[in-house]
Amino acid sequence: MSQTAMSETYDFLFKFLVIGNAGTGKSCLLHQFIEKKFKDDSNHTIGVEFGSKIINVGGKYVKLQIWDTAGQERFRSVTRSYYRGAAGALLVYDITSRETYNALTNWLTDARMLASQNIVIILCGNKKDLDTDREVTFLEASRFAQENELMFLETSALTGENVEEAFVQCARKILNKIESGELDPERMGSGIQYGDAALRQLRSPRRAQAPSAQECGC
Amino acid sequence: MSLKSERRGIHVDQSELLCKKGCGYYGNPAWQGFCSKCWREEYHKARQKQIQEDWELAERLQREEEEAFASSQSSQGAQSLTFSKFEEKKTNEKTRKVTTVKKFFSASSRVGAKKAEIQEAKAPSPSINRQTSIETDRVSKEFIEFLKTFHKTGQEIYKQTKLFLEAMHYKRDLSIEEQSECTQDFYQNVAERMQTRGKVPPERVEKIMDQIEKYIMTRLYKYVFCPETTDDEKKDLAIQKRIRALHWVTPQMLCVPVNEEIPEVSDMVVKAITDIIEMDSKRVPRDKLACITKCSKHIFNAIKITKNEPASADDFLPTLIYIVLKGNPPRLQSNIQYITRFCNPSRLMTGEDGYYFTNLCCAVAFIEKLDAQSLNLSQEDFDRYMSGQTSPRKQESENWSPDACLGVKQMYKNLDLLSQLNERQERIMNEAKKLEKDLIDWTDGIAKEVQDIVEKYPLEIRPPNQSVAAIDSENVENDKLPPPLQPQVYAG
Repeated sequence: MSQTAMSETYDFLFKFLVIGNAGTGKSCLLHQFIEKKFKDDSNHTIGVEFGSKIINVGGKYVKLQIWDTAGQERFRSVTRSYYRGAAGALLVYDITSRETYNALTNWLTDARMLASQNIVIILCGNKKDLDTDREVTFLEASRFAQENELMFLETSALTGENVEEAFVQCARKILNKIESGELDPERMGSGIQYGDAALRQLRSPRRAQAPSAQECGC
Repeated sequence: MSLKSERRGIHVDQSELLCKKGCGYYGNPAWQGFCSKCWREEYHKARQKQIQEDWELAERLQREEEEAFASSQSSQGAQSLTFSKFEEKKTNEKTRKVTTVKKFFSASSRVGAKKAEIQEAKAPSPSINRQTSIETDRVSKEFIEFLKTFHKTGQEIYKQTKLFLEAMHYKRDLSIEEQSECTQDFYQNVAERMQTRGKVPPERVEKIMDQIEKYIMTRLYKYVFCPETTDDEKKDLAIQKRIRALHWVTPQMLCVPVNEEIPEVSDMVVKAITDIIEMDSKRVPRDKLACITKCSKHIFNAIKITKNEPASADDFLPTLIYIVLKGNPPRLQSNIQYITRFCNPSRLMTGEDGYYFTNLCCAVAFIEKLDAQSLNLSQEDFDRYMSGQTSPRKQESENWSPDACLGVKQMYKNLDLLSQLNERQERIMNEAKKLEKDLIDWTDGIAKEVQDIVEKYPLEIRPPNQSVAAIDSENVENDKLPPPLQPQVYAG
């Protein structure tokens, strides 16, 4: 890797979405995930609604750019533009609210229909810390995840349990897909960008040596 | 005309009504006595001349620019480059000539065509033209200054950009989508070439791309913003009308977590509205995006102050919708389309600007689709509000008069408070009266009850001495009783 000490260097950039009903703690998850990085940074002005963080996944530096979305039912029909070019998504429900769990099917339909086909989705049962008020069992949710080919974790934005894990797992799966060739970052709308020019050359020599000669007008 | 002045009465000579050019059609004073057709021709002759002069001016400026660029480059003392410099200058000159011819050609080819009217509408006066060309020149100078810091790569970029602009000139008649595609391709190619050939580090590529976008879009803006070939303008008007019809929507209906009573918050709201309106005045897509981002930041602050905790997307989108409804930004659809078509795509897909832009698109889509259900209203209420028969609440005037100054708003508020006070006072008076009556009733009631009891149980007082004297009176046979027992002493 040609990484220097610079914190802004990364190999890939993924666009992530956080979707799910209002009040499931989407923003809190994002906050919990990002905050760690910004903890020591006193002049942190970026709102929690939008954040980015570089994580190390199996030796690769991946910059996650995370978009929080509005979860109210009345906005569901208009929020389709969020999905464009998302590489991964956290689908969040609240384990203490059956209603948010029941809405998952709708969210999943939207995500599958509007995002790219290869979008990697991880199901997050949030508010794990409120186990006494639980309305959705782990077993039930994991079965749902299995049926719909989702990854699944129960998280707690309050204690931070499994939060980073959720993002990392999702990113890892995308990286695996890229390595196996299932996902082509060069394709438009994949939600993936290369961070480093050197890596790009390494990965696709075809593009590097032929910078579209037909368009070169000199 | 002077001959006619002798004429008396209101008789109007037939010949006066006809076109001055004598084409047989009727003329119109608004067209200086020409018929519409002849007027257009005349007007265009004048305009064409103007355009030609403008071109000449622009050409001259461009030449000066290029010379300045070339001389400053050579003065930097890159001796080994002299030959290539000479070559480049030559090609530059060639291309410039070509462009000039092309420009004249295409400009004149439009005369008489149906486009004439459009052109007329688009550039109402030459002075505006000149003004924009001044700005374009300023941007070009800045661009050249900027590229100088990159030496050879800078030259290369300048050449490419020039070529692209020239190519775009030919493509002006193509559909806007095709033009957009060309621009996107150009962005991608330039960026790639810089990275692979020029070995420019990514951060700098981004910086250069920003400058390139600024330069080319300042030049292309006139032709590709809200072009006549699209229905952008129609959409603009539609959304504008729609927002006006929705003037009655309150923050409560949208569940906007912003309390405008707090002065700091209302200040933020005003700033957010100003930013979103300002977007229309920018020419470069990136600058427009910056306006949206600034607006969003203010919204976040407003929510943060109101709720006393960081805002989330659940709060943000409704508030943005509210701001758009309140601000009714000019040419909203055109701006969105323009940004989508001509912004550097990497910026739009990811990054903070892209996020806020996406939210704005969602807000506009919501406003377009908005119905009774999305505001939690009954269909009847919604219809009544839409038709303007009633407004949802009394304070409507306070919240929904964008033109009202602060004083008027304050007055409305005070009036409202006064009427509330009045109401309360009345209520107090009523209550007081009621209390008074209750008190009177109460004393009356008590008095009556006491009276009743007194009547029910009349007090019978017997004379006290009689009963004392009669204690033993009935004992008639008192004397016959045996004497009381006496104590006896036992001895032993």
